[in-house]
Amino acid sequence: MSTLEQTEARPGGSGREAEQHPDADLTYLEAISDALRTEMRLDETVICIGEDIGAFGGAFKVTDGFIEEFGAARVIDTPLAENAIIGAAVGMATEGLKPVCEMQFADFIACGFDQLVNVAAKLHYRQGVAAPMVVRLPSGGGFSGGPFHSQNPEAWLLQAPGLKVVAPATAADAKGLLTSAIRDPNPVCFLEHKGLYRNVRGAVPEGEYAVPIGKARVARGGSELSVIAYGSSVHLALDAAEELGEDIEVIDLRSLCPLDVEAILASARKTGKVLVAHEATRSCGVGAEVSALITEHAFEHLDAPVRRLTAPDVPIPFSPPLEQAVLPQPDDMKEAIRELLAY
Amino acid sequence: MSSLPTESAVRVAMPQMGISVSEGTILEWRKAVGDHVEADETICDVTTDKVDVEIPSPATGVLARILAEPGQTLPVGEPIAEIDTGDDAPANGAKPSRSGENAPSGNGDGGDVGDRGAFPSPEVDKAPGAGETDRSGFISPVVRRMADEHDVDLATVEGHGVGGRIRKKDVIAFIESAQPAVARPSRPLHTESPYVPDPPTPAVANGNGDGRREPMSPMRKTIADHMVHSIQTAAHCTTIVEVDFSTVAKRRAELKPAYAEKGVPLTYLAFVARAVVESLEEYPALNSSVDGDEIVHHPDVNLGIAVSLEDGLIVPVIPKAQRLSLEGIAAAIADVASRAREGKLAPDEVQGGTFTITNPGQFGAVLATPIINQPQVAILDLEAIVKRAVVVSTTVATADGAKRSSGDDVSDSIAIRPMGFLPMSWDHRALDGAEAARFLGAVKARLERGMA
Repeated sequence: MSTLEQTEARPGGSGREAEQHPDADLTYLEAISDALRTEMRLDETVICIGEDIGAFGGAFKVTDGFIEEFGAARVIDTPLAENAIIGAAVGMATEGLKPVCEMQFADFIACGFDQLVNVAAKLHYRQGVAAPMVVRLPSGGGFSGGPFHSQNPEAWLLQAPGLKVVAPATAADAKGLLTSAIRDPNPVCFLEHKGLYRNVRGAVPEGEYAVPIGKARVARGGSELSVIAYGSSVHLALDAAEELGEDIEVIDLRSLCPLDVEAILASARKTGKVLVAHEATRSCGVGAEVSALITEHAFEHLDAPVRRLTAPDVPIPFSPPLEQAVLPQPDDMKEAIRELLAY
Repeated sequence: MSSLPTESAVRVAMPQMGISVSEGTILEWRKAVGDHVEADETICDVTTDKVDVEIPSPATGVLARILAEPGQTLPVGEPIAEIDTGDDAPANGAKPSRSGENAPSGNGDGGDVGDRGAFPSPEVDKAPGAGETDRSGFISPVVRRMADEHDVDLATVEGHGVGGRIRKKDVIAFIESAQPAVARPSRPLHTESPYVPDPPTPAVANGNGDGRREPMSPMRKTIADHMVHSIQTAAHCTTIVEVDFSTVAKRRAELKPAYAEKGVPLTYLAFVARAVVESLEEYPALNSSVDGDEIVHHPDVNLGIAVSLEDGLIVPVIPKAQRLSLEGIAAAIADVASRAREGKLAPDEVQGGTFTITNPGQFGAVLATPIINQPQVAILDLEAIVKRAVVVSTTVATADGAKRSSGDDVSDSIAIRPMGFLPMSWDHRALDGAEAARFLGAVKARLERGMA
């Protein structure tokens, strides 16, 4: 519990002091490694478990060098059996460890679904037993990975009460949210977008750094229109806003469960025009939920229908031009913003 | 999709545009009635919640009838037009619509209809009818609300949104340009109201429309202010005792004629007032005031008697009531009550009270929780004295004259007695419940003994 005390000793979520914790310039991927390494050094109950994460250092090299530093007992290579990975993690969590599972690709969570949504998510509800575990989910497409290696499975997870779901868009949030996820007493699904791994970099506080789960971030302030997004779509929105030169607000949700309803409604009330954007498929997705929240609670502030920019309800194609057609592109974002501005 | 209503006419139906699409809306007719159309030539545009579709003519001929106007929404399969094939087309020559049963479905294979090509593109909601129809009459929720809040006549606002729609921006610009000097300073243009889950239920009975309104009388206003001040100041607590008034009733019957000769009406209230004054001398904590962090103990009992008037209430004070006998108190109550009703009280006769008695019981009420008359610490309420069946215990003389233990010498029976409640509200800042109860017990005991 010493880690908890240390978190509380530095209030304010971003709680850090410039002298003690200078920023490092890291990629999104390096920030994830940094969070894992920092927490493993601080707390010996933090364990990594997954396929090829030890000797190979992970399919994307997130845990590169971990087995050398922490040993095979804390960096556990497993067979290709996600149900076993998550099931073992549930057992570890109930016995006092804090396992961090790596799904090699988020798509493979389907194989571990029973242990995740039926066992881990409901353990505290059924038996009053906490399951402090993290499932890391390398998600998203854009690299011609095809239908089995490109999915954004957040909507599946959001239908399982008991799970928390976070989806950072920046390197600093990747570190801060993973730290909070490890320290959280609930099972937390950590969506790390593969497209951001090496394309997004930024200042990341060194040492311990936690970002509270459940708090959205105003990535860009504006008053004409709100783009509410998360993950890769945040960057799409920021780039479009920059190029269009319009007075656009961009809200980075960061946490999908719990949702920062207050931030969503505040922005909707401010601008009256909302575009919800995500790379995941459309129906019953986060966009649908956010849109429903806004029409329920901010109807009288709306100046236009709440709109969505998403992937259509289809698998992700393997062919690069087809994939581009399916995933929201910069031009799609700009067109959607322009249309809504003109409304 | 197409059928043959007559020999030479081919009906054009709303096509199936995807597995999950059940209806379509006519956007625009590209052909007018009477125009010649080639088979597969586009005759109109239809939109659904998913896609926009060009509807081709199923046959070559003349557009004979248009059955659906732009903006009209029809279920899949409903006729939208008829093509007269006349002599220049075979009566049976209707080709299946490209957008009909042979069209790729929007869902199953991921195919999209229309000009989007063979694969789906990211889904973006389109503004309905963007730039096509006059939308100046459509008012969005925020525009409606802002117009109401700022008394803006929307007919005078120019819309710059799609189809001439009035946008929030247009209303803001209108308000800002309309009366820059007069209208703006008092009210913020647009306030960010916090979300309130349940809107306040409209006050039907008290609505602006129906009820008669009248200003409060000065007395009503004073009472209102005093009562609210008191309830917000004192820590109100109410303790109640029930008193058997049999003995008082007996005494009153005995004394009444003699008092009447002197012109003094003898009421139950006089007995209660006398018992209260005596008990206050015994429990002076009740005869005090709270002043900031101090409690002020009063040497005299200045007894307030609440007198109800036609349009309010006044509390004349009987000063130094501890010096008055039962007869003196009875006379004083009668005096102040009558002068109060005639409006002849002097200003200093309604000030300086240290304890108040109120008497709603005269109107038949049996229980109330009165509000303390500030800055006093208690108010006693005489409720209606009514006959109730009560258990009375009498001591039974035994044959040997010796008292037995464990209550064997007490006989319980049910009797009909004149009973009344004495609720007293007191200020928990100044005293505690035990003191209040002891005081009330003393009042009760005095009344049940029959007083002097």
